[in-house]
Amino acid sequence: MDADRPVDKVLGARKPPEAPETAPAQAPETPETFDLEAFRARQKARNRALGLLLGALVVLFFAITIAKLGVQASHRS
Amino acid sequence: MDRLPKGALSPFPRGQGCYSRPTMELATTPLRMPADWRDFFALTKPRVMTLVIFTGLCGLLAAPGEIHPILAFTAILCIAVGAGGAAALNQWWEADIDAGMKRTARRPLPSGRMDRDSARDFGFALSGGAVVVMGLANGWLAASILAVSIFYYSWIYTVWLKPRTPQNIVIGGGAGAFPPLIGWVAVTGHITLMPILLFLIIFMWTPPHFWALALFVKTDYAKVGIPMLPVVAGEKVTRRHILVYTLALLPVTVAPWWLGGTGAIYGVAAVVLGLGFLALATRVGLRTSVPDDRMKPEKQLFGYSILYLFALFGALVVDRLAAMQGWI
Repeated sequence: MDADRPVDKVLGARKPPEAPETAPAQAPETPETFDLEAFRARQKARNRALGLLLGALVVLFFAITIAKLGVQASHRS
Repeated sequence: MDRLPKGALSPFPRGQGCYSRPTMELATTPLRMPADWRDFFALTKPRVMTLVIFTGLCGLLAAPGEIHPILAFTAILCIAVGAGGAAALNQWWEADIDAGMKRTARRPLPSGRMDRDSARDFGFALSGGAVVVMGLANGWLAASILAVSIFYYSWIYTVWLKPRTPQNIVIGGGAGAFPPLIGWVAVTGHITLMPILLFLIIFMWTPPHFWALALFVKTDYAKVGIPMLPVVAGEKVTRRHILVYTLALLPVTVAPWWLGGTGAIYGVAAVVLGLGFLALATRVGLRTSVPDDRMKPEKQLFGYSILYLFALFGALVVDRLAAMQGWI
């Protein structure tokens, strides 16, 4: 994972490297540090990744169906 | 930094944010940045997954019979996704333990980049999805073994064994041993002696591999109360166990050749690689660490053990391909 991603610098979401041992399991962000623009950018990136994943699943199910039909046809003949 | 303007729509779902009560909730509800997709990817332990994919692929390629390339791809994908789901569930359960260990403190949960519920939901979704897709594409026997392997890792090992017994890694080693068995069954549709031997190879390989690591991260495990063998029984016992398990591993790796399941390429590779493993394990088994020891032999054994498994399963595939081509 790239620790120098610009979005993380803006958010300060990552703990500094020297402090991980004492990091709490969950560090909620307060409204004072919340960056709406970065939030929306993060949501957009996640939605795009989810969209790609769903598209890939559609292609995979189609390919599995064709492959299974081919295997069944070859067994019959 | 922008602040969420008063009265603006909250990014939270209805009931948790400010859709219905714009001003009150804004002041009291902490706003949380959603985890990045790369953090979800990190949750699947991609480095561990490479070994899982490789051994699963080797099991699939070494199995007698034919499989449609798309179904073969699906089998490997499901093994990988299932392993990723189990890893996510493992990290969801162990977030507090991970936070206390130097090696794991920068993972998405202990570093605060992701909330625990997201990790849990992600883990269950990946695990369930992988089992269902594998069942539809590769048969329900392979899917059942995948489901058992996910349960084995995320519950039997993570929740039950790991915090309770120093033998956690011996019994828990079964979790990582399933991929070649699943790959084999995806092709043949049934379980025979050969895939069980492949399972046993990884099962026997895991303790010396993991105890070598545990020797040089012992203080981390002690700090978070995980009863790893070096913490509970001490270094001397652990070193002896590494040696004993390595000695037990060698005949298991040569068994597929003895029993006629593979040819000479695999047999010679198993003997040569095994002797290398034994040499390093002997060095670790017979030494005693000194204060401020850099644990170089233990680190070498850990590194070699990974290379060993890659090379051994690689030799299995080469042997099978050579037999198919009529070279041996």
